[in-house]
Amino acid sequence: MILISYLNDRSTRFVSTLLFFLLFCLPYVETKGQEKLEREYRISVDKVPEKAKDFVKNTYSNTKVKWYKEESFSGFSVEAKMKWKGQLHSVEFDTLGNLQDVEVAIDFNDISKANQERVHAYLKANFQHYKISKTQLQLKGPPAQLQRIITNENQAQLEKFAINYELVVKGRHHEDNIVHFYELLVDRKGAVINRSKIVERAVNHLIF
Amino acid sequence: MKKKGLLLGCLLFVFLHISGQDRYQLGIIPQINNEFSLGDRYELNSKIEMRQLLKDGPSDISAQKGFHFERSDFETILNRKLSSLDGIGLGYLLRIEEGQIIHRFIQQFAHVQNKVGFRLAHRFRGDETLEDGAWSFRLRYRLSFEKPLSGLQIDPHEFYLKINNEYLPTYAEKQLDIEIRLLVSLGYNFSEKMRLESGLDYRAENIVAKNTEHQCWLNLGWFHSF
Repeated sequence: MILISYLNDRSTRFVSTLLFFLLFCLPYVETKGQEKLEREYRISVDKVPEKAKDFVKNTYSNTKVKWYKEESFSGFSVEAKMKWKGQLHSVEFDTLGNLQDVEVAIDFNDISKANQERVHAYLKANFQHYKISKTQLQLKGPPAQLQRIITNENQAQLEKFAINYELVVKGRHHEDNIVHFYELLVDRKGAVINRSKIVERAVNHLIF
Repeated sequence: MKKKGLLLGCLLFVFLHISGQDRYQLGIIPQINNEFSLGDRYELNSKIEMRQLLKDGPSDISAQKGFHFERSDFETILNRKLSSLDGIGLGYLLRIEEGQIIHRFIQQFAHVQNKVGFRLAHRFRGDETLEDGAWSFRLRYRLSFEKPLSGLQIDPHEFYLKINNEYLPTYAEKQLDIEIRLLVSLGYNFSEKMRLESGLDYRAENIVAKNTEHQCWLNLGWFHSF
């Protein structure tokens, strides 16, 4: 009752609201030092190393490109994202513009049957249930070779040059209580060489 | 230019509509939202929200409350995660309004989708409200859109845009009606555990009945996860 009379006291009005807000919020302010340094952000084309710009211009002619910079503990990298022949391509460079790798989003059913079967066998053995939600080919090699492959080859041929596949799987691992998203790194023979759980960002501001 | 024209047109439409015989309310809604993780499967979400009315009208048909501390809401929802992006929740809200206590029971299912460069959230909610010995029932659907203003995902110390659109069919006093809400807000992500949002929340209540009320609130939201 004290609380009710307090809240209904018109003399408190707006001031009480603001004070309440500030008093409850300020203790939660965290310092920058507690955070993990890992972020990516859009950059303009004039901040991209010339070498990277040249590779993208010569490989993906007449295509709209979005440039991003990524910061992590291992350093900085520059990434170009674009749509090419109906597929999403992501090209990663170091800060000097040296090509690191090219990732191409494909349909899981487009990879070879033998590799599909090996991946399914792994997932069946480790997950109670699962669904493959994203598949990417990872291409690595000398820039001239990658440029020739991307420019000339069709999607079916690209797989010949893949060194790895990256999969995103939604599923419940035997050790899990609930369904999670996982990232799997699969080699060119279909063997899973790494599995990591994807930590989802907070959703409370979207659902409550 | 086209987008600006469209926005201006919408605002003009709303204000022209309000200038007729419909009621309106303008005010501020601050809210604090805390989430407590209870293991892998459960989380408890608590929200404190207050409404400060600044102005209402027109004078001949509105309640004429004027500058007024209107109400306080205390809401708690126990959410069971079905996956890292889906959950079902049960909750209770206590509202203190003009010295009166109102009870509300809440059930919800929420599903979040990660897309390239943005996220979508669908929230389906049912609630039952007991006020003055009478019950009212609502079924609610809210679509939320969240987009980083830099890059493809919201990283620490980055701004983002959030848009909510909610439809609330209501059954009260043997009558059906509907309320529609639209929130456009700018958010700042301090860290993975803390966000601050501020935006304009437009609500149209009693759309079927003839006494439609248009509300515009300045929304201030603080979201924290433990």
